[in-house]
Amino acid sequence: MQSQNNQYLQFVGKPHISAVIAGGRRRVNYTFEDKSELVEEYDINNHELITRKWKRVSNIKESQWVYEVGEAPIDQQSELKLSNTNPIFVRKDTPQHFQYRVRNLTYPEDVYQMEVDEKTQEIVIRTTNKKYYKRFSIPDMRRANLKLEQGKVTHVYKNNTLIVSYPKPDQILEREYQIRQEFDKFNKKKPKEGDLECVQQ
Amino acid sequence: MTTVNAPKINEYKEATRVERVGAQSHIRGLGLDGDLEPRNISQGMVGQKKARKAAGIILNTIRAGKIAGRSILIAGQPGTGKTAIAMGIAKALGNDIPFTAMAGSEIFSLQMSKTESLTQAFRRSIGVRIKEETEIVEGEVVEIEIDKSATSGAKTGKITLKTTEMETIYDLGAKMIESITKEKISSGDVITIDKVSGRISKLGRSFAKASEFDALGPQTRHVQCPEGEIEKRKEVVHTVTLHEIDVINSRQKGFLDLFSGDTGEIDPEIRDQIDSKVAEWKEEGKADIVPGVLFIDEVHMLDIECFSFLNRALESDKAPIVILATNRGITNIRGTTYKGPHGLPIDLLDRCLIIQTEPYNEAEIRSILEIRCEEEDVEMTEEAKEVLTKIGVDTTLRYSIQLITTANLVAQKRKSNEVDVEDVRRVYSMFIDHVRSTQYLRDHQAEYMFDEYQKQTQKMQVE
Repeated sequence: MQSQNNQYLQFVGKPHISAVIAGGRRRVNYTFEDKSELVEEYDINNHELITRKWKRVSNIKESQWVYEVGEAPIDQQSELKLSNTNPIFVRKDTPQHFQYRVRNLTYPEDVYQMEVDEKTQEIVIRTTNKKYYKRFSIPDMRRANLKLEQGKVTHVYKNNTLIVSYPKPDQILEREYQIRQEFDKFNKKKPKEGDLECVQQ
Repeated sequence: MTTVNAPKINEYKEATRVERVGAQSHIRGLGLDGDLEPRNISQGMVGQKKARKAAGIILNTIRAGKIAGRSILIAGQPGTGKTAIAMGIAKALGNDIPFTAMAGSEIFSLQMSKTESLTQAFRRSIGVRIKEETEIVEGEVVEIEIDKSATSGAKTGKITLKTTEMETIYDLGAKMIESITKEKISSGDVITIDKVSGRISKLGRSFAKASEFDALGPQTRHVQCPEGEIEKRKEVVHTVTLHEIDVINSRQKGFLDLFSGDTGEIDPEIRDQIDSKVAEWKEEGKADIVPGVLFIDEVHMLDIECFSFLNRALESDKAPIVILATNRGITNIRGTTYKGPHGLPIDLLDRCLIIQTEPYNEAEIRSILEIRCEEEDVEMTEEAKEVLTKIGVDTTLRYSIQLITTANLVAQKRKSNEVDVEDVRRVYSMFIDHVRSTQYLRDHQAEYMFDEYQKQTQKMQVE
């Protein structure tokens, strides 16, 4: 856990970390000095990251969760919400790659183009028919100060879903391995729902 | 199914609800040119040049934001444009600077003490400008679809927005639909929607659609179709008032209280905390304090306790600019047995700069009536305008303004689009102004009930 602290440089100071088993997943809560929070949820068995969400504290208005990995629950009452006919963009990593899926894309395979914008350190998805466009960065790479490389982005299109992958660099694979080791140690204690796990700083 | 971007005449009326026209809704600003000289007829204001010029100087003082806690008194006879000037200042300041308008008697509420009402009014007029990142949706409108359910009458809708690279469809909630119809958004407009506050701003019309219509409003701007993504995070400069921050911090569900209006008294400790927090933000450069304007109309209704409070409050360095208005002459100061000019104590008057407004002359009355006719959407013949102007001169400006729409209704009854002299004559005889009314009372006093109080009613004429 200690090696991960460098990753969260965005926020203030050292976080207070706690982990709990909830809803069949391992939920790790980071609370930072300025009262901002980070919540990660991992699958209990294979330690895959299912969701990661951040909450910054604002003095003027209600704070909201910003989802980095996983889908935010859709606010049904919202005045302006994306129609369900739109493509949906979700991040869900695999052990070796950062992976992004765009569901509900009905255009033919050859319209999609990927590229890396090196200036802004973002991956750009374009369509030649000008129907879908998305720019996104990989926060994990940013936090580790690693650059995105042109040519490493790959994509596959099937079942109306576009899957964009970027291989995880060794540094990040190393860290994730360490996290999995920690979680394996916890799992040896056969945790049940609601168990609190003490996490070393 | 009503598709708003291709309206027929009767459908168009449904989509653009008619807004109720207020007494001051024709005022768009002070009507001054670059050198602060008032144009004779501009932005809804007519004549009253000295007062408008003075107001323009005050306007610049407010905009510079450097001088806090000044107070101005606008004094003049009824119907001389006092509230109109205050409205002009408000409109000229725009949305960035908080402008709170209230009437003197609003202070007296059963739920809040007078000082609390005044403190809240003051804090509503002090803004804090904060830079915040909000999520916005920006794009060119391709299509708007609004459906009205036959059973529940509830409206549902979809809007398709595009940029140079993509298109997205959004489902609309009821409030969003209302904003869209109110702002008259149609296909080809480039708009921005703040996802958090729900506010829609029209940036202009897309160049691509410029050739479609030949006649457009005078203020139509043409802009490029936006590029890139539709949903963006933008740094927006946000102005909140101190009062809003007080409310959010004073209750659990403070945020919702802002809308229900029921705030009650706010703990002074909380106010102190907020003040120090805001001072901190200012030091850190996160926020700016923006003193705005507090306009108190009918200020002679306040009493001596309120006046003492005002004196003290004006001394703070965060105080807003306070504009007072009254039409009273030398009158009793409420809460005392003394009389004072305009019903105000001299120590408060000393802190005020006084702007006098004067009654309008015939030509000015004529221009104002023409502006109001346009605002109320009424066509009138030249002769009718002459008669109405004369009525305005003989009676009061307000009375003749009120005759405009009533005469229009009478004209419509005889199936004419234009108001003519006979319509004006008819409403003149149907609706009596206060001068004739008092005259009538004097002549027929004996026939009214309780006429032993004859002498007292004669005193009431002196307003």
